[in-house]
Amino acid sequence: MKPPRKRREVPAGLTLTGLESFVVQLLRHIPECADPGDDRLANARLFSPPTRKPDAKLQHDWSQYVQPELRTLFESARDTVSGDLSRMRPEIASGAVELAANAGGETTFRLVIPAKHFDAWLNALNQARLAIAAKYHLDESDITNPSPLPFANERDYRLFQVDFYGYLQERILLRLEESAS
Amino acid sequence: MPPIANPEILEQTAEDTALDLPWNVVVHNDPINLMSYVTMVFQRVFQYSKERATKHMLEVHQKGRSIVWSGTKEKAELYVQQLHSHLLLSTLEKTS
Repeated sequence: MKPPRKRREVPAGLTLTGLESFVVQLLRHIPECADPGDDRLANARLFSPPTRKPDAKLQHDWSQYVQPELRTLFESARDTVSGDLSRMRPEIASGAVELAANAGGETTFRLVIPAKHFDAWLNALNQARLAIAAKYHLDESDITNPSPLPFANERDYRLFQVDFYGYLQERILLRLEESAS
Repeated sequence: MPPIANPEILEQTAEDTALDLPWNVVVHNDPINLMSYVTMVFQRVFQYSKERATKHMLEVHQKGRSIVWSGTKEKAELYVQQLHSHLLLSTLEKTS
């Protein structure tokens, strides 16, 4: 008789609450930052070569067949994240939002990341972190040091962005690990 | 009719032997990718245990690169493609 197979737990989604406008802005920028557009450095990092030795045939085949598939996969991850972000809602009822706004209080938001979208989020967050790091020449010493606050320039802000997206990745990975154990 | 002893055959044999050499899938260090993320990718792509995946991740982090798999060229290409889909810096190399 076969032993009963342990059923893999479906991880619970991740709900982020109390999100203030600055964090909401950071989140809404994920798809845009993840898209390398025409930036040479970001494209070079997101679509790295399959070999470090000259191999014309392999390079040709890679750019012809593999890279278009990767491009589609990355776009799909960004679309999934955009969809979840578009469903981000204020945490209080609309009437109360108005009251809070009138009273000078800040409306906070709630974001739900369904478990089935975790892979797309991990991918899009990674795209964004890598593309930003390539564009702004962030290196190991930048990454290992804490983000400078307050921001003195755009580079400082981008470094914070990379840190914050990394924190989100960690949260998702932790949830995945909890469900696997 | 051409002579039986043809030096080209010898060359061809040497080439065939070279083709049999395994290919390595190499992952290179990238300070941006999270260590926990890299470990998870190794577990997923190669079905490695957490311990083995962590060992390779640390090797990448400390030595700059790790050979994570060796075998046929076709399969190595497929693994590199999967690693690229997770945005890891990886290449294939022929064993010297």
